[in-house]
Amino acid sequence: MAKRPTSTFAAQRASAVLLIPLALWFLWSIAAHAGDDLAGAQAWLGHLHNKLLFGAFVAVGAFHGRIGLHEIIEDYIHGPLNATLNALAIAAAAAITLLTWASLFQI
Amino acid sequence: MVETTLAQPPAAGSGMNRPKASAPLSPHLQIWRFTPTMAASITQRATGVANFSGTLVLAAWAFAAARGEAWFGPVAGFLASPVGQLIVFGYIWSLCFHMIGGLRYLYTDTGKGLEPKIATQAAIANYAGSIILTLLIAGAAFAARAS
Repeated sequence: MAKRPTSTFAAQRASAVLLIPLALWFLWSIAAHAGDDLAGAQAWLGHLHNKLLFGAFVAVGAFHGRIGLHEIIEDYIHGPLNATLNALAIAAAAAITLLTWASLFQI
Repeated sequence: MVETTLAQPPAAGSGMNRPKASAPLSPHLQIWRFTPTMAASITQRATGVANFSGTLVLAAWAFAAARGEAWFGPVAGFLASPVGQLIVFGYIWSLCFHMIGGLRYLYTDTGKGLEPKIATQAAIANYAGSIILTLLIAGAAFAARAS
């Protein structure tokens, strides 16, 4: 019975720890690339390590965000809408991750 | 005495349509007295939702960069507009707040720092730290663009 909350807690914390270096890298990058034009953005994302870090930040962020959204939905939405919203949150996280990765590897 | 079903608290795990395994739920917003810790807790959730929306912006930005100028022009133009700049600035602050808040939670997860006085100071430091970090990053961004 208690397995789901415990593993969710662990996944939330593990992704949070992973996100600390990724977010620091991203915040540092945003300072340097916030105003990039297309050539600048493509040159920056053209480097494999930037692709991987950007993609990891979005993927781990979406995964971590999905857990948080589930927590909020569980707290405030009771009833049949609960499952629907959870499914939507999972779909949104998956779509954001897939769109980002597919785009990154077209650059 | 007639008991109505409405007045009865649902037995744990037996409520209608409740999730199968029950994690503890948060108290509702209305019953809280205002404290910095409570404000930081609510802000942690709000910034979490904002960060999730931010990843959507990142996906759109990467998609536009892959498609070419027809897509990238409007996206970059919007992000450079006053509203867009506010979104970027807000997203940076939101990430900073949530990251510092996350460190705070990782620490309190160990059972330490829960005394009201320390927890209150940590909550206030969370706001102060996020604002300082945001201004530093925004300053660096302006400096990078000016150079």
